[in-house]
Amino acid sequence: MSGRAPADRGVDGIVGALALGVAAVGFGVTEGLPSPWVGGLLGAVGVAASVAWRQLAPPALRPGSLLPAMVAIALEAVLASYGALTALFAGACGIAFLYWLADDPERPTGNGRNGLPGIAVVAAAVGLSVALVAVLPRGTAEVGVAGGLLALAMALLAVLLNRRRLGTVSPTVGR
Amino acid sequence: MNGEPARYGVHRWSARTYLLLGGGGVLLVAAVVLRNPIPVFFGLALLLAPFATSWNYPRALRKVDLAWEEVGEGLELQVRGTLTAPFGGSAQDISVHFEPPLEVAVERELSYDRGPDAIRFATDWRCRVPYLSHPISAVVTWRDPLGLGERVLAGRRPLLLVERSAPDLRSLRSVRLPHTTPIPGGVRTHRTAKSGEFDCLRQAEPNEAVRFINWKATARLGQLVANEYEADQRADVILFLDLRPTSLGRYLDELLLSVGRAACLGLVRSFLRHKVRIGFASFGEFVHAVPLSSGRGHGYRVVQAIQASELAREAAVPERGAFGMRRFFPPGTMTIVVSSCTDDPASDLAPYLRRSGYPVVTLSPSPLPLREGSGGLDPARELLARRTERLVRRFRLAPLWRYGPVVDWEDYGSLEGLGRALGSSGRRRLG
Repeated sequence: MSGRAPADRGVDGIVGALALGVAAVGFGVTEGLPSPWVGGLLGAVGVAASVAWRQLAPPALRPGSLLPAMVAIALEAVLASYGALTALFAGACGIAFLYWLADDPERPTGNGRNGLPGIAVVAAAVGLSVALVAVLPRGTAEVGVAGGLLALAMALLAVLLNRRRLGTVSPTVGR
Repeated sequence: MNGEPARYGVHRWSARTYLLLGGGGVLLVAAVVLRNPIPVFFGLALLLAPFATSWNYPRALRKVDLAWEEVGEGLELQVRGTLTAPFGGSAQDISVHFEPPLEVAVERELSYDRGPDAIRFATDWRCRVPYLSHPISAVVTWRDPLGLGERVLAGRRPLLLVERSAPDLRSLRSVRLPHTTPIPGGVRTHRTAKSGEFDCLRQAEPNEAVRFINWKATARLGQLVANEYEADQRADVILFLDLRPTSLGRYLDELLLSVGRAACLGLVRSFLRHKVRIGFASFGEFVHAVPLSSGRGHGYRVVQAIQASELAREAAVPERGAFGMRRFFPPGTMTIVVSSCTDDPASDLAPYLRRSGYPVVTLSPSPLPLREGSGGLDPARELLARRTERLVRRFRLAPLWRYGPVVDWEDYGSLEGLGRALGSSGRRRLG
């Protein structure tokens, strides 16, 4: 029961897929493996598999389409050697991955731009972590990680407080 | 995000959220084990995203009002509605959910026309059966743009009553139902009343109304005499709706029950128009009944009972149905059994009701029109299959004629066959 025009759907899906593909391939090339092609190919294959899954699979299976890309990028992250540029690409992959999720052409709510406010919050936290890694001298990267986790804890706290307030909405409003 | 709708304001995660949180957690553990912080930079986005999107919920959408109506005609149903709230840029994230009734086929999927202050939606259905009466409820949700969760929104949610008129028993006017007798074979004593057919003259009472005085007879006899009338002879009829599941399967059973409800509603409205006392009983596992009565208020009660009739989970033995009838209705009352009669003849209600003293007319909605074309046969084979099925069905219904007239009801839009059967049952003085 989607209400979007086919042309609109196609354009949105392409932007998200391209962003994720560039980020994943860039991450694979810069992660420090002996051959940059291996990492790049891993990222490209993962993203291509996710895009194909989302476009071709039956509707009931589409929620799982994020798995190939997520697993491929996670593998790249695990195999990557430490470096500021690598950290930047890992963070960029996370942001691009979320944008690709928001850019789902099959959902009536699917629109990459609509997801930007939520993604911006994540981007701020990731950016803070990466900036700390880049600015601080080598060996103190734990501070960057700690900053990211601090941002995560703050976000959790904000959400919990927010839910408590919204939970007081009277169920009789609609009667 | 399937299943029961959440309460207003409660945020529900989707399966995708758990995948993200699981992936982020694995990356966090990997970073600690490998002493490599890089997985955290990717995992951080996965862990934060669900909470960030939940935080992104637009506060202006705390109350979204729904207004909707059904504007189609005949078998076509067109549902049109509007959601109103200051949506702004969040209109893309709002959707309305409702289930079409089983008796309709969706001709056009739900489509939206989204504006900043109102979202219009529309869908088209087509009725598979001539009668439909369903209250439909809707749930309005906000879904975050990443598809990680949804929130049920509050606001006015009126029920949409989708209704199509029941078939009418047009030939009822010519049908003389057999009058109810207290005991089978008994005759009711003479009754007089203030209206009806003229019966005799009687001495006027001191406070007799002027309109009852027969002035010519008064002048002739030299004393005040008044007219006496014969009470309206009212027939009683019981509608007995069979709710037991059959071997046809739940889908066809539901459709046939919908047709049966249509027949009952048509009969109730027609009979009550002609001052007939109506009783209604439904039988699934037990008998539920509305006692005999007439009038507008009673008609409302019976219509409510018909609309509330649902297919039973288990099929009870027919003896229980006949026994239950004796608790609510006097024997000898004309009973119209509405049953598809598709299973074993031992499950038929008519023999047991007849033995309990109820004259029976069986109205049997045929499943054949609902099954036409379901096998993917070419036209010639379809015709042959239809003729064969019809013969089998006639063979199946034939033994029931021992207990009363049987109407094999295939033309759901008309109850003329039942009208003829009721007329013939009256002439044969059943009961």
